[in-house]
Amino acid sequence: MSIAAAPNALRASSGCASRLWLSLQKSPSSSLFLQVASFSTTAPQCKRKTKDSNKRRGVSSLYGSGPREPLSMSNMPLPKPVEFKPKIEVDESHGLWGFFPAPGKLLLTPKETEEHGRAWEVEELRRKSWEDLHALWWKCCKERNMLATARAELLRGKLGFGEREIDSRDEEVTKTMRAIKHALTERFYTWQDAVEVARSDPEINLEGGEGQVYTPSAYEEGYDDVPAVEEADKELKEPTR
Amino acid sequence: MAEAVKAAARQLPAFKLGQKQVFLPNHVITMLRKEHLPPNEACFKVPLRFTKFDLRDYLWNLYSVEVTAVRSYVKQQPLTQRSTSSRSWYRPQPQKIMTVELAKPFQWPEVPADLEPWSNELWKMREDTIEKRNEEQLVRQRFQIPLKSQEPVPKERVELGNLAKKMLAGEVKWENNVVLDPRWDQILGKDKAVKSAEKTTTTS
Repeated sequence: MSIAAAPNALRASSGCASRLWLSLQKSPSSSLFLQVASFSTTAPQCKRKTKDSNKRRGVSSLYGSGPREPLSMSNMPLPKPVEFKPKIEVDESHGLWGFFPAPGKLLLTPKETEEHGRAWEVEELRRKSWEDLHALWWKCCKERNMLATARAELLRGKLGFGEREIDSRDEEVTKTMRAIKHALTERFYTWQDAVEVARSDPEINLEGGEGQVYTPSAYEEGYDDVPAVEEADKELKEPTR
Repeated sequence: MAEAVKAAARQLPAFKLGQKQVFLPNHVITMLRKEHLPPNEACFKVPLRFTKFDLRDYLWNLYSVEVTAVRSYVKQQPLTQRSTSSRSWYRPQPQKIMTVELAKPFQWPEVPADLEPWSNELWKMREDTIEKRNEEQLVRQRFQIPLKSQEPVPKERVELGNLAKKMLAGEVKWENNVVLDPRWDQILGKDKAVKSAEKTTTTS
């Protein structure tokens, strides 16, 4: 029995072995073998192995643990890289200056930010062509980008007041953008109405191809010129009244 | 003819531009200052639905800035209270941050040295006051009411204590320069007389 127990004891932990020893001591029949077992040369091997065979346990390059043992050059200070940030000359034509009020200028002072005109109104924008409106829209976009950059920089650098001025200027730009959309929406509705009228007009053939849309019942010569002149005269006279 | 084609090719960027036309967009692009970035990189905050290609074409079409590469990440925002008084919390929309590599390097302009136009000193004072008030409010919300004994001793009490010490040492004589009612004279005179009598008795 004890011979059979010996290989088990080799693997079991020391605490386990001692318990086994006690239990074996209690049984009178195996007392002779137990004394032999206590002097066994294999007993140290019962101890739990604690030393790690991994030589690089705990050494990490991720959190910079360094080597496990100090090396011969551990006391020598390592040279440190110089803090070198090259200054680059940026010419004034660089596109990213568009995010700033002027080339080389980070942001406008609150007073300069306040010096802006009013927004474009719908009445003014109604006369503009699509090209003009489109160009104005992108101008507004650029202005808003500039203002957003200035605002971010104001908050990041904790420069001081000026947020309200930036906001009000941004609001004014937004008003212009709203007016552009208003004018374009009006134009679209007018076009829709015109199409509706053209459908019911017998002189207009919407299904016709290019150049065949307008089919006048009777062509009147000089009809286009005379009223135009009259209208122009009327317009000239009207302001003087 | 060949030269015209060449000129047109020089106008175009090294990448293939997008074909889809975008009309009247409401995007706002913010250029962000990042000190750790080298001069050939620039950082932008863009709308969430922007893609890398969007930013690349946007910068080319609107600012004629050529970009060689774009990196992007979405920055989550911390839980935020709707207002200081309410207990309603929400998670704000995350932000999309894109870093581009520029064909032509760009250096950020210097921060102005004179902050007088922004009333920086006044602003700082205001910020300090707000912060102090917020801290006080936090302490009050945690019911950490400071005991009177744990409060710092006010200046007046310190001065009073010093004066008392001096008076006990006899350096300062107490006087309040009050004209007393004449009826006090008798009592005080009696007192003085008693004291002087005691003194004489003790000295003799």
